[in-house]
Amino acid sequence: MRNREIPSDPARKEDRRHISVAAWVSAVALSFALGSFVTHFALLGEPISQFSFQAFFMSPFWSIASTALVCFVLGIGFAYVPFSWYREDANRALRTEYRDLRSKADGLRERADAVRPSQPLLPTKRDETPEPEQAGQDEGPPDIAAVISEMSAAINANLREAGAARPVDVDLKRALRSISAGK
Amino acid sequence: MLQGATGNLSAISDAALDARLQALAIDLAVADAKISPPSAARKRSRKVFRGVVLTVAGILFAAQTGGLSLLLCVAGGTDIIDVLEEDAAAVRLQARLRSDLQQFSGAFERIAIEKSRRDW
Repeated sequence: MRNREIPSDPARKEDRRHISVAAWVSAVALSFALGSFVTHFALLGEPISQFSFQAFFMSPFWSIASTALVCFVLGIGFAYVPFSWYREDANRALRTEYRDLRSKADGLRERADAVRPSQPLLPTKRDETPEPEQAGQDEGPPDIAAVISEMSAAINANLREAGAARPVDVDLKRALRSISAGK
Repeated sequence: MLQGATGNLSAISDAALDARLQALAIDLAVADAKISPPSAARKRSRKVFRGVVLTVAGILFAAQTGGLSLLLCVAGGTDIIDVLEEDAAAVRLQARLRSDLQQFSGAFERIAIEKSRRDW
């Protein structure tokens, strides 16, 4: 969920909405004005030079059109009320379902914590892969089995090979150091 | 989208399962916060009422004012359309949250089954 959503700029979103609202209002006003004028001139057959707003608003056309417009707008307002109730109810139900699921998840988590109170929320030991650097570090906790096997390998190599330049000497010293550090 | 919804849960460790459960709880809290509060709905209702009143008043007084009151209609129409746009966005968000809830629920079921399988 968190990865899927790319948060957009709220200011840009708001600007877009305002432009959209302005476009809607302009379209409604223009269409109504055009319809009124066309109907008016078609009904009365007057030239446009004789057009008067006072006469237009006193004409029967405007009384009919204004009644229709008022009914339309009131209809929108009345229709919005149950729509708003429905939406509020749906939001309430959705919120309840989310909280139920969240409480169930919290309950499961608390139960798991109660069963294993001392275990921290870290990867378990069986998932940890040994890092190659730790095998060569001297300051880590001494692994007795590894030290012994290293010592035996070094002794065997020492016995097999003769000469002064024996790299196993280094391993032997490190193994001894590890043992003393472990004490 | 959700880590718990994908992947084989039986192959992960107990700690990773706990982490997924915690991530699920966080996702649920975030989604819960996105649901629009009742105050937003009341605000929209007030705005619609104001828009209707302005528009109706503008139409009714147009004859007396010589058409000047039609400016009220512009303000009222702006309010109504603004609310309708907000509502459309809220409906889209609600549908998305509903779909997300189903996925969250599926993920929780899977985690709960896996936890019970491990005898927790």
